[in-house]
Amino acid sequence: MLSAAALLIPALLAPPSGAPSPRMSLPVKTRVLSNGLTVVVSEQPGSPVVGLTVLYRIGWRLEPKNRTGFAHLFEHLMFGGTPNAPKGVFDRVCEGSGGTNNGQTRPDVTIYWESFPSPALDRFLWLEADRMQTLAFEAAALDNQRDVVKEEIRVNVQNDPYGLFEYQDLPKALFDKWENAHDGYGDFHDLDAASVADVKGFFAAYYRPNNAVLAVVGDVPAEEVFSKAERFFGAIPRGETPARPDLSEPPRAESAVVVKESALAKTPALGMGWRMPVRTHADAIPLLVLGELLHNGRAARLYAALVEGSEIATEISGGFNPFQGGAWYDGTTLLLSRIAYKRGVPYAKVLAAVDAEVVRIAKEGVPAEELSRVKTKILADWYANLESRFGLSMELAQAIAFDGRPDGFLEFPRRVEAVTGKDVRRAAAWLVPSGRATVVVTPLKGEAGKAGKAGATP
Amino acid sequence: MKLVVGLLLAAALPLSAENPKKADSMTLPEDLPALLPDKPLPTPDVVRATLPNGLVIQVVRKDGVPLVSVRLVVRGGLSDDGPSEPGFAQLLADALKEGTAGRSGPDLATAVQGAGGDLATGALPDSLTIGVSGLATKTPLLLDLVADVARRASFPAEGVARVKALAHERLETDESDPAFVAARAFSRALYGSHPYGVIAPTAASIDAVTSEGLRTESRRRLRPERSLLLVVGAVDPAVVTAEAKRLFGSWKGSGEAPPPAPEAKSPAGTRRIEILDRPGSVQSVLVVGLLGPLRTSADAGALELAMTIYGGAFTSRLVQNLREEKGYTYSPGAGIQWLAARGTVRSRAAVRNDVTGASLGEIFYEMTRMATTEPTDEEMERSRRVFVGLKAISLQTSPGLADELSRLWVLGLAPSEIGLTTETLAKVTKADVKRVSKRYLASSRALVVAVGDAARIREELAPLGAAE
Repeated sequence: MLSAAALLIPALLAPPSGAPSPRMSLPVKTRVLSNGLTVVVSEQPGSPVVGLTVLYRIGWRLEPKNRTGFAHLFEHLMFGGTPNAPKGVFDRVCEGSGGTNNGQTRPDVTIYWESFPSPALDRFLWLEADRMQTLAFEAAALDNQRDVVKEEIRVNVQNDPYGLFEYQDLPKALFDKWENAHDGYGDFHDLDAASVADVKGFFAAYYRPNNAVLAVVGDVPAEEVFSKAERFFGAIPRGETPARPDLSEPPRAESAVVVKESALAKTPALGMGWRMPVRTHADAIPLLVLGELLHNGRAARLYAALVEGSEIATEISGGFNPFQGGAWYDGTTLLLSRIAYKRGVPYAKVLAAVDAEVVRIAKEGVPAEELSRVKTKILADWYANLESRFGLSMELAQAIAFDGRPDGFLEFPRRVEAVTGKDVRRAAAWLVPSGRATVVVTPLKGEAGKAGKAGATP
Repeated sequence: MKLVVGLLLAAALPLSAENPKKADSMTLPEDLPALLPDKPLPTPDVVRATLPNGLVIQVVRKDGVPLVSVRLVVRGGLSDDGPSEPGFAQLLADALKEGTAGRSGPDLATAVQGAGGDLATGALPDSLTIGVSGLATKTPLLLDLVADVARRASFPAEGVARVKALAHERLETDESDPAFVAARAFSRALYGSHPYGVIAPTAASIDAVTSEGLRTESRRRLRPERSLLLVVGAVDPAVVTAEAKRLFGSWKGSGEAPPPAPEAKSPAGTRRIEILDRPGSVQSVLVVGLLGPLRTSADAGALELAMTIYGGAFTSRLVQNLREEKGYTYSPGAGIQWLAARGTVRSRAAVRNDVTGASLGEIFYEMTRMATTEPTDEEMERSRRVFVGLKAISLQTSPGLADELSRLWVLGLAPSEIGLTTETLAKVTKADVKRVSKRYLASSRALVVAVGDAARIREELAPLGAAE
């Protein structure tokens, strides 16, 4: 029943050229219904399109311990039909209204979003409220979606030469707490064991209005959205959502390395990660900047050092909090480096090249001009993500879910701008070799032996 | 009799455990709110100018996020490639990023990063594009980068070697994908020796690329009189236009400009089925289609609706038939490829070996049904909503709007065509849809390419006209 005032946020940037600062006005209003559902609205005139997100504050980290992959399976079930709208209705109504939709399971949240012409707003509110009220809870729907999820794992994970090791093997090597270490895609044994009772229990615990956020962005007045939200969602009963455990973990005391062979991989690749501090830590945003500086694009430090400079590697990717984006996470997250490198190069040489670059930053700092370029890129990407209405609705929903208010999110440009060279040097201290876990994937030994005489492992 | 009455009653009753409603996805829930009346698509205000050297400039001010998209779109693209140099335009586009007279490849990357952007180049059948986006405050730098790449690309030896190595890798990856193999064979068979007949390089044509050849061709192909400079974002059109004049005013090409591709002609004769062997495949990929009309033709609007009804959406006939009812395939689909000298109207599906013949039979059935009977009012209404809705969604962002404006320009259409979409579609009748389907969904004249295990699917396809 609380209503925040509209915020008008100047996007602060200090262009060295002396050109005027770009400004982005972002009116945001929030209201909490009596059942605990938080509604956040940003009115955007112009194009007759609405972006809508419903976020549930549950991701794969808090799924039941003997049910890996359950949060993702559940996401699929949200499209599997309700008593009022059997399977197929959601897609038919969505498409018939000129809209598109999807869902995504992340470590700490599960997000459902739609883009559609604004005359269809009531329909989409009805559809989302309908599946927040109840699902079909039928064994057939569960079996059907279980098959779809298994197929998704076969295609995305088992058929991938590197098996998406950053999702599967790296968290296991890096973290101690089960929540952080387990594989969110899940194993087939656990997926097979999932029952309709599990589905009902999960729904009752986490898929309740008091554990959800509704975000609407478009050419619709906020007050109208609030009253429609009350009409469609107001009568949905709240639930008892379990308290969230502490997911933070201190840096690793010693490094870990896992080496595995893959029949599908033609060339070797490795992924390495470090545990990160809680997101309110003073080093969190500097680490985000450091992650970008090391990884993003042809101008990134690791690309220059390992690909263009030394011919050790062929591809570099990674960064801070890669599975969720921005600085949204509970407890801890990882800073990831994923490197595809050449046959015959020992993996220790790749690690040493990365360490040398990190040490250089810790010792020498970063030239002001380079830091400014990297920050500019981060902000441009941040804005680009907010340009589509569903993108903005998704970010607003996350801001409310993690902070309870949009203020911190809207201050993101200022927080990035404030990062100094000194901050980045301090952040580099988190990326010490001892705190690292590494997963190396090599082609089968016989294959590697044929091609690279130096051997794939040191 | 009783049964019928019972069913009717059940459908009208609210749901209860003892009397479950015989609901399905075709019946919409009763209390589902109605759609409000459509709102028209906003027409962007495009500020236009043409420089004395022929360069067309279009600028759209779009407030919101402080970003800008800059594109230089050059007509030609893959259709500029001669018969001896298939896919050359693709390598040319890639190699443009490797450096200019004043900036090395890494220098370009650094400058683009400082503008908050990404530099992207690419070649399509009708165009070659140099695009970059970034913060609107960096617009002068972004324009300078695009001008530098377009006018002064240097094609350094090591950069060209890198591009060629990547092109070989991409070709290897593409050739392992049956959908690519099918698309390549389809274009070859439909267009023959017309420039659209080639969609990718070959290993030999990649090897033949040289720095010298890239330099000469870039000056010949990239020229102001066949280019559009498009700027969309939080910018002042007058300032951008003045800056563009300064950067591009003295630009000129060298040598003789490549001629535009001639209008493609439909191959004569009746249905043809080509089978490409991919031993051991568990699935076969089917591509079925005909030559389409020009986008400027009066049939364009009716054909958009016809294809949405036929196979362009999840709720379309082809998808419902092959996926939902028969379960032959997960993702069938159909669509129009608009090209300046006539593109294609095609259906595609990846299906299990043992239902390859049955699937092609269903595709022909749905094509014929479109050509012989009128669609329902509900289908007409739904396809309009789908088409206009997806367009409105894609036009929200600067890159989306820039894509649409560059497509229109390449096809020779004015920017005002965006706003006309709703109006044009509203005038299309059911008879129009049937009439254009008869022409462009004619199963009796269709070209079929099937990629799969020939030993297993040849027999499947024989009853439909394949040579045994």
